[in-house]
Amino acid sequence: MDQKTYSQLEQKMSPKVPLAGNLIRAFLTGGLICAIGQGIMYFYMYFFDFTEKTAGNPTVATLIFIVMLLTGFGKYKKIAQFGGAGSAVPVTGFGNAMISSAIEHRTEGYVLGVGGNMFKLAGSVIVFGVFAAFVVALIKTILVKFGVVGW
Amino acid sequence: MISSFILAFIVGGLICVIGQLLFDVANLTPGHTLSILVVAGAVLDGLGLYEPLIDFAGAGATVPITSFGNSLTHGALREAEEHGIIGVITGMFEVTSSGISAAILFGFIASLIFRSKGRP
Amino acid sequence: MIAYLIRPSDILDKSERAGHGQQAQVRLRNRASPGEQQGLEPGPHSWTKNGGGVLKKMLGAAGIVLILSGCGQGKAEIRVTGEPDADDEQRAERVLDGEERISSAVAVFVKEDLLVGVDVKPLSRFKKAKIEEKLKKKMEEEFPERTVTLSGDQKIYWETEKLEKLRDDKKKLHDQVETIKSLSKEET
Repeated sequence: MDQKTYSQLEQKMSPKVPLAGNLIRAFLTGGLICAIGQGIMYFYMYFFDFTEKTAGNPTVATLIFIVMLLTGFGKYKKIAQFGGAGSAVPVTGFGNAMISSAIEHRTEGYVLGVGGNMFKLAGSVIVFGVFAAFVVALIKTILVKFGVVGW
Repeated sequence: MISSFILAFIVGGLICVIGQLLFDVANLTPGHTLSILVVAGAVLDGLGLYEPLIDFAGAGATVPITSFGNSLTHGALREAEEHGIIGVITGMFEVTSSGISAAILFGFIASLIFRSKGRP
Repeated sequence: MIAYLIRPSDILDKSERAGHGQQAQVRLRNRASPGEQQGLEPGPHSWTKNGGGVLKKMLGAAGIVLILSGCGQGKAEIRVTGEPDADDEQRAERVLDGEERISSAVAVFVKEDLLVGVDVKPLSRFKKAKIEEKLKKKMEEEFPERTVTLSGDQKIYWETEKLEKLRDDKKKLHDQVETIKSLSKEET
């Protein structure tokens, strides 16, 4: 194998090395957060009158409350360094983005600092979420009207 | 019951793996990745696939950000089912996601009680 | 995913690695760690050497548990409680017995109501809504004179299970049935 083929092979292979590690860590971190969420969900179902359908809301709110504490004490940063997308994709990552920017910009005042900067990263998620929901609902309603699909 | 935890772990973990692939392979920023996932959740709900996933994986499907798209679309669709096209528009003003309101509320509370620890 | 577990060291033989190892190392360092990509401080990235092994073991263990919990049970366990008429028990059992995707079910007969909580097997939960629909239709055909409430929700199943203890307390039983009926109607 000469230099050229080696470098080609290396090009092909080497990005996968950190990728494999990143994927495993994302899987473990994300999975763990979801498993904790499942535990919270069972807590609400067992001790309160929540069904599987309705327990999702308090579960998400509780997770974000926990994230508030972790972010405030500077611990979520460490989880994010380890987990990558595993800590960003669950709602905890969304909560962390909003909460940390709220804490950081507090010195600029509550209205312009906290209120204005909270949505820096989270804003795009809300905008595209709402717009996508509108488009999907519109398309589906039209398709149902023409009898292509059912509800 | 143990199986629910395992299913939540695996499905939630796999959604995060998709997110990591978007980070690393497609070289997207977190903002782009999360937006794509939210839109994916909305589309999956439109196809009627997200609710079965929640039945299957529980928190594994409700905890990842994709569930935002699902709950927003679900609210709009429920209104549309009752009132037709007009319902889509009025439904959009009624949809909420507990995650968004919780993040706003707790974010504000956090700014009241915590101080930035000298991070740039 | 398994494909990503292959590292270059597995593919190149030792002599080649000795010559170019350093180059490969540099490449590794240049990759941004997940922390950096999120605009956070760069963290030390030492991806665990046996990461692949841990994952394989975990998936293996998860698979075994899934098989044990999902397919280990045989026929569905069906219980009937409340105030069933003479042959109600057999009729309910006959209907629910035909469904292989549930592990157990509790049917509660109270006045004109029939409340059924079913426990769907974990790997069949993706089709939970369809299973509920099908069983509800079958139960309505079998008991046309009763209002059938059927749910595969875990909470509803737990609550119907608790009704078995209320056999003697008629009033409390009726109240509980009404509560569960309204619970099952709730949406997100």
